[in-house]
Amino acid sequence: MIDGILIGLENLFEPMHLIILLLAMMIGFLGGALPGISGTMIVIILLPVSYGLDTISAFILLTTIYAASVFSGLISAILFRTPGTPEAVATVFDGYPMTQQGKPGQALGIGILSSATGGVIGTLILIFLTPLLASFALNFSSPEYFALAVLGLTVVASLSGGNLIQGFIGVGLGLFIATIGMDPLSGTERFTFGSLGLIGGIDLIPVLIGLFAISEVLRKSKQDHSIKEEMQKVKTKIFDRKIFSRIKNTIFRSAILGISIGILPGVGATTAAMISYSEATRWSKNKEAFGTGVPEGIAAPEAANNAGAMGAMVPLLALGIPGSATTAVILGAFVLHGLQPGPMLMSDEPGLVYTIFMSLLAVNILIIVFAKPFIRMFSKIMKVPYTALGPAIIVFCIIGTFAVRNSVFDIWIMLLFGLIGYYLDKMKFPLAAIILGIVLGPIAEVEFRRAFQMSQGDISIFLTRPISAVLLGLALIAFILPLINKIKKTKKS
Amino acid sequence: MRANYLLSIITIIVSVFFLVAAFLTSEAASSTNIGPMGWPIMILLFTLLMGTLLLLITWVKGRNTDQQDKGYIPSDDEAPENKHFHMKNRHFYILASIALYVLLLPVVGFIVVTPVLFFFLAWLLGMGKILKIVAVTVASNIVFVIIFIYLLGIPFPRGVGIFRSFSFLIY
Repeated sequence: MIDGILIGLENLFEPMHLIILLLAMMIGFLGGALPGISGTMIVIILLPVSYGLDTISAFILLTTIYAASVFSGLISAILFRTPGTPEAVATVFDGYPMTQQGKPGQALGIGILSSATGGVIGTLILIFLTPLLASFALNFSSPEYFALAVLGLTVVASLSGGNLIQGFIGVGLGLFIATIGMDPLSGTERFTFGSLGLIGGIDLIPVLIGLFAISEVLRKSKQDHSIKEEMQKVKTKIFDRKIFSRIKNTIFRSAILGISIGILPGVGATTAAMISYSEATRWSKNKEAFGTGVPEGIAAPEAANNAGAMGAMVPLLALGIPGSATTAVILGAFVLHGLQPGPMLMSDEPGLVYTIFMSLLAVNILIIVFAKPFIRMFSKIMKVPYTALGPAIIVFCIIGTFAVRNSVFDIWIMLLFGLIGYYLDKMKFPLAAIILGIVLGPIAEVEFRRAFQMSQGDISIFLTRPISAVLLGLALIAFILPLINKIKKTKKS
Repeated sequence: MRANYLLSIITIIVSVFFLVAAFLTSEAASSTNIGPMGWPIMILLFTLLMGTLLLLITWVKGRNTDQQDKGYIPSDDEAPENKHFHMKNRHFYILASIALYVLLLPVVGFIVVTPVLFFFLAWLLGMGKILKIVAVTVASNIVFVIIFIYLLGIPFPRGVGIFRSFSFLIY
C-alpha cells in the first residue's frame, strides 16, 4: 500500500497532472455551484474529452470534477436557496437561514471546513478499504461477476425514486440497448437491420449526453432567462476556533456516517447528507433550533455528502459496482478506456488506482485553499447568462459525441436520446436506470453466458458457489426491501 | 396516469417488436447453450412483463381514483399560458436546428455550420441584440477551434467544394 501511495503521489506531482487537477477542480467547482449544471453533467460532457487524454490524466480529470462538484453545491444552496447539486439539498435547511440573518460568510466557512474534513476522512477510508475488498474479490469467476453485476443493477431501487417498475423498465431498456450491434462472443449481428452505424453497437456517450445534457438544455430552454439572480458581496471566514469546537463532533460523526452510507451501492451521498442531518438533530440538545440557521445544520450534511461521495468510489474501484449515478458514468469511462474496474484493476493498474486516491485526497485538501478565491470568481461568473451557456453546452455535446468515434451517426443517436430523455424526464422517469443497464449489460451478459458454459447449462452454478449465492441473496434483499417498505407505507396511510 | 399509460404501451410495443425480430433471427434457435439472441430475449421478456405490469397497475389505480389525469405531474418549468408561442416550443426548434446541423455538417463543414447553429440558439434563447450575439458567437467559436481542433486534433468534417477549401485556411 505504501508503494502504491508513493507511486500515486509521484504521478500526481507530474506538472501536466497537477495542471489537469487544478483545472478539473475549477470546472467541478463551477459545475457544482451553478444550479442546473450538475457535476454528473460536467463529467458526462467531458467524458469524450478524457478519451483524448492518457488514462491517468483522464481519471484525474473525471474524479476530481466529481469530488469538487459535490463540495461546491453548497455555495448556491447557502446563498440562493438553490442547491447546486442534489447532495446539497439538506445544506439549504440551515445554510440559507444563516444567510438571511446576514451571515453568509460564516455559513460558507462552516460548509467549506466541514466538506474538506468530511472529504479527507472519506478518502482515507477509501484508500484503506478498497484494496482489502478488492483482494477478497480476486477469488471471483464468471458466476460471481454475474452476481456482482446483478447486485450493481439493484442500485435501480434507489435511483427510481419510489417508482420501481419505471426503474425496471429503464434498466431493461439499458440492458437491451447494450445488446445492439455485434455479439461479443459469437460475432453475430444483433438488431442492426442492415445499418452500418449500428454494427459497432450504440456507444454509451451519445446516449449519456442525449439523455442528460441535451434533455436538460431542452428543459431549461422553456424558462425565461431574462431574470438573473444577483449575488451579494460575501466575506468568507473558513476557520473560527469557537465555531469549530462547537461543530467538530458533528463533523466527525457525520463523516463516518456519510462514508458508511456512501459505500452501500445505490444509496449515495444525497441520502448520506439527509440521514446525517436528521442524526445531527437527534444528537442535539437544542433540536428546535435546527432549520433556523445553526452551524451543526450545515456541518452535518456537508461532512456527510463529501465523505459519502468518496464512499461511493469504494464499490466502484474494488468491485466494479457503481455507488451512485456519477460513479456509473465513471464506470463507463473505465470501459471506454479499455479498463474494467473491479478486483483486477487493483492488481493490474495499481498506479492508476493510487493516483486516483491521491488526486481525491489532494482535491479535498485544496478545497480549503481554493474555495475562497472561487467564491469571489463565482460572483462574476454568475453574470454569464444561460442564453450563452445553453448554446455552448449544445456545441460541446455535439463535439463530444462526434469526437469519440468521429461518427456523425452518433450525433443522430444523441439527438434521439435527447428527445427521449426530455419526455421521460417530464414523466419523472429515472433516466439513470437506463445508463445503469447500458454500463452493466455487457458484463452481465458475457459472464452469464460464460458461467453457463462452465456449468454446461446448469443454472444451479449461481447458487452452489457460496460468494455468488451470497451476492445474489444481497441483490434479492436490495430488490425486495423497497417493495416491503412501500407496502408498509401504503398500509399505514 | 396518462404518462404511465403511454410509457407502458410504448414499452410493450417496443418489446414485442424486438422479440419478433429476435425470434426471426436464425441464430436464435441454432445455439446449443445460450446463443447470441438468448440474453436479449430474456431482457425483452422482462421489459414486456414490466410494461404489462405498469399498464395493469395504472389501470387498477385509474379505476380506484376515477381521476384520469391525476398522476400526470406537469413539470414546474412548463411555460405559462401567457408566454410567447416560440418559448413554449423552443425545445422543438432546438431539436430541429440540431437535426439540420447534422444534415449540413458533412456538406458545409464544421467551421461554417457551427457558428450558424450557435448564433441561432443564442437568438432563440433570447440573448437580445444581434451585435451582441455575433460577438459571443465569434468569441466562443474561436475557443472551440483552439481547444478541439488545434489542441485535441479532432478531425471534424470539412464539407465539400468551396467549404472544404475554406476549412483548409483555418485547419
